[in-house]
Amino acid sequence: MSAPDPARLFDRHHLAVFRFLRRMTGSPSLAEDLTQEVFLRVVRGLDGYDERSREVSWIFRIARNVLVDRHRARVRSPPDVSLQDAAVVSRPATQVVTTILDEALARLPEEEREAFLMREVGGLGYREIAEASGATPDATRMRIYRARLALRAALGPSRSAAVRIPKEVSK
Amino acid sequence: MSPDPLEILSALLDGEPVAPDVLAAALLAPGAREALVDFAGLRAELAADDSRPSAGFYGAMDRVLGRRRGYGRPVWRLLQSAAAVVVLALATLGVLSLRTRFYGRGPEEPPQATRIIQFTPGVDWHEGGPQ
Repeated sequence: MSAPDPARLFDRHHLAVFRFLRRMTGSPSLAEDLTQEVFLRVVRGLDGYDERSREVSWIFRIARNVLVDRHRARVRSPPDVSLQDAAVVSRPATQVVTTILDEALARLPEEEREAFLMREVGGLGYREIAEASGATPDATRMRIYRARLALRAALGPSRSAAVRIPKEVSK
Repeated sequence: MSPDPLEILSALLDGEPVAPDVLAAALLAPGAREALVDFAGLRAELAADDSRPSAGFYGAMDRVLGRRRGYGRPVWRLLQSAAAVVVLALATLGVLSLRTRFYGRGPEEPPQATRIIQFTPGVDWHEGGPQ
């Protein structure tokens, strides 16, 4: 069976990858650079694509590796959203909520934000996220749950339930 | 230790298998309904993200992927169509020009007669028509 067509992979997945990286970095321009790097690696690595895994899972693994490489090159600083970056987000009606959500996401521990966004933006399952991040599916489930509780607490004053954020779990 | 009811709902939202009795117990927990609605609201908020990369990004990616598209594509197709029309017109003119050169007249004129047959009233041309 032949390797997947890189143009088709790009058309199908680049928006999810870009939005994942934008949420992870807080910067659209940086997310563009990283998305470009992701698909460069996709093109170069087509021969190594394992047909047993889903395309999106493979691409998000690459996206995570790109992020890790960037973090190794530079200690992550708080999101610096320029005016040009802000113009890319084109939903004025939800701009305030989006900003609060972005801020709440930025305050999450890295591994929780990553697992949560892989689930919600990439649509990956617990096992796929666990394989990409080197964690167990149980730890992944807990990370996503903790992220949801923290975001819920940050976003909504209407939440009446007592929120109990569990302590860190081992991998 | 019994599982956290909200954690059960979180896993359910992610498509994980949850036993019906465990789910029933989780939904009876205080604040479970609100939590489930809030979790779904978070998902909807993220799904509403319509941010896109800039035009420059797509130009760079087109070069990486080795394809033409975007602003240049319609112009390129228009140029191809115009070139095809010009070639067709030149070919037609060439054929007409060759015919004029060989036959010495335009295609709209009738050909010169090589034999004239004249019918005369009253003459039975079956038996002794003009030779």
